[in-house]
Amino acid sequence: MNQTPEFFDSSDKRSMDEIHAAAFREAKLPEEGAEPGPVWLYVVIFSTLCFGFFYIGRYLGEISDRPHVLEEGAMIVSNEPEPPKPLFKVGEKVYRQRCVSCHQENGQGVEGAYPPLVQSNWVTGNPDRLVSILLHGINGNLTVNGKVYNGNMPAWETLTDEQIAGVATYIRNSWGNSADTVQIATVADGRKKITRVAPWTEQELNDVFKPQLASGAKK
Amino acid sequence: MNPSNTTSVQAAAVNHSEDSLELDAKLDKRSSFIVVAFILSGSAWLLLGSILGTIASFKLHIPDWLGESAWLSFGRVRPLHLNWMAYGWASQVGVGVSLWILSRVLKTTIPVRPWLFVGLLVWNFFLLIGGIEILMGHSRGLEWLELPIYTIVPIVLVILLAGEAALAMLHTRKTPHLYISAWYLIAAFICFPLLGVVSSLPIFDGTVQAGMNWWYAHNALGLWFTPMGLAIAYYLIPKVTGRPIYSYPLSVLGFWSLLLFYNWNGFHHLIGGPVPTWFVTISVAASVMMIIPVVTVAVNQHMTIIGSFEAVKYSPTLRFVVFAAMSYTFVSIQGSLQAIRSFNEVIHFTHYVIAHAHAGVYSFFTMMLFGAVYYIMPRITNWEWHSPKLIKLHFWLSASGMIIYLVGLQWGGIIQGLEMNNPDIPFMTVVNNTKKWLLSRSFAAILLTAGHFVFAYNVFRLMHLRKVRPAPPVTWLDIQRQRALEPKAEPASLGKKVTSAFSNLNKSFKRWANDVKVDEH
Repeated sequence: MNQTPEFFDSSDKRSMDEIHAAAFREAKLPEEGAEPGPVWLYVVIFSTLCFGFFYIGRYLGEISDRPHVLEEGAMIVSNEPEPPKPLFKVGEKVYRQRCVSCHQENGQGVEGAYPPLVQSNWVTGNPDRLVSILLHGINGNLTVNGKVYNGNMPAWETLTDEQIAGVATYIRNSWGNSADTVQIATVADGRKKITRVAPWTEQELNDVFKPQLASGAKK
Repeated sequence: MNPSNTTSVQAAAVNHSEDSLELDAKLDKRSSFIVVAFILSGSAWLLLGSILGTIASFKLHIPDWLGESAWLSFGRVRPLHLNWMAYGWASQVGVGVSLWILSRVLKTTIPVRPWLFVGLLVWNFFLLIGGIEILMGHSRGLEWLELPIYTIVPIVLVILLAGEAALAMLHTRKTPHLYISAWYLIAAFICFPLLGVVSSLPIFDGTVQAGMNWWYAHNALGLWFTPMGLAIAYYLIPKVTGRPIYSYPLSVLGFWSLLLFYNWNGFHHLIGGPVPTWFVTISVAASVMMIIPVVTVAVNQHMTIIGSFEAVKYSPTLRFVVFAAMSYTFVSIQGSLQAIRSFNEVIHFTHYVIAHAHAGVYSFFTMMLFGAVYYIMPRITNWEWHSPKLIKLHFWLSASGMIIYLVGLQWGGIIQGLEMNNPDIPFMTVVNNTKKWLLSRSFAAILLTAGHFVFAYNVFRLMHLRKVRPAPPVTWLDIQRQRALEPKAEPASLGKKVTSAFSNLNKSFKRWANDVKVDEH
């Protein structure tokens, strides 16, 4: 007699009637069948296996020093020097990341604080002046198309020449604006020529720059 | 069982067969205390987890609510909801139900019951401590593994103890044939301690840790909850309907293909992450392979229950189990599809994935556990459920809550994913657009929580508010027995139905006419 030790229940004290009643409420667990299953089930199983092997073969990628590359083609492309992106595209990305919060998606700015970029001579006028605003920022009142705006624009001198040229090109050619591309060399020149720490004021800008680049002047 | 063990001649006469129902009733009596303990403890965690889940849900559309307290910030409440639900509710009730099913299908007593009870106390203690640690901000920062190491390891050890009990039952079993539920349960009890121990080793760093994290988290669902859930379905469907499992070979095929493929699935969570491509590709292929066990199980269970669907009217258990089994097929096929890269690019980092996870752990596993608890409790406590109406209310709260949850978040999640992939839509617009779907989720959370309180009340009433013994329910088995005695009614043709409808109408008209005459006198 190797009975398992009992726990909180040394013996079953129920009457046989009770045990019968407990048993009568359910059927015995019927013995399992052994049907082979429908044919389509095997078709599904076989097709799934086929897909699995295909998928592994197709998308295994590189088992090499570049295991993160999904496709061989992608690896070859990445070894070649990247073609330069058009400045407009570069600028669009910079604008979305850094400028939209004040000047807004549509370039209209915010009344009283952040001036609009649309139809603004500050944007489409002298490119040297625009570049310098981007590099050093601007403080205090600024009049655009007869309305006064008073906000602080931070200096973006930490951006690369390509990014500054890009964003300048982007805002000069979006929302109906149309003006020349700002070259990377223009930004490099601007950085060299004017070295200042404080942001511009409207007065200073008017003293230093002409509103328009004189026609025939070097671009 | 050796007849000399029994105390009376009468009992010996009854126990002539090793798989008699009387033996089951005796085994139930022995497993009663420990199984009830696991179910009650798990149900308490269910209530706590529901409240936390509801708070977390509301915080997503009212971000400032309870924001002053760091303890109740989203980043702490949500992981705690997950951990208490997974290791409190699902695992504890899962272990209790599993031990009960093993005792039944292996025809042997649950061993080391006092130690299991001590283990349950240890489990609860460390789950509580671990929860406080998470609320204090000391989480490990790994999804599904937020509990600090020193609290998760004792819990894993307790589950290992329950696994030892399961293996001991396999050893002392009184039946040569292994029913399919036993296969699944033994596998679950072997897999989970392995997962728990490996994931606690201090050898994972960086991307390898991310790989381990998702290997663990996906397998906790796939090799711990899923086999337990399927074992419950395989046991309860034939028990309630009285029909045999359609095919043992298909059961075995479903079992081994689950074990073979599931282990590879977790890395599809790292699509687009800095892990080797072959690593993710193999995982995606294995996720698609899951179609094999899922369709096999679905066919097997569907062919078992077909023709007995009427039984869901009589058996609340079957209602929950059928809902859960259908959800299993749905959520698994969905999982296979969404693992494919082009689909995953849309739904990754959206609310869709949260809904998918709930479809697995709730629609499938939790509903299965509810079904099991409704079946087991009257048998091991020797008392009936008081109110079939409240059980029905619980079912509909849970089912409708879950359907709203899934439809809202998955539809909203796909929209969110498509918007996030479109660079022209600003991120804040995408976030604001999810708000209405998050509101629908909070509504669902209220329904689900209400359902859980109804469930807890049902359990509490059965355990502690016993006054008048409720009448035993009319089971599907009773209906079948009754029908077997009745003369077989011929299937009524349309013509016959029409004639009988007319004659009924005629009779009631005559009755009415008689009444009128009586009135005239």
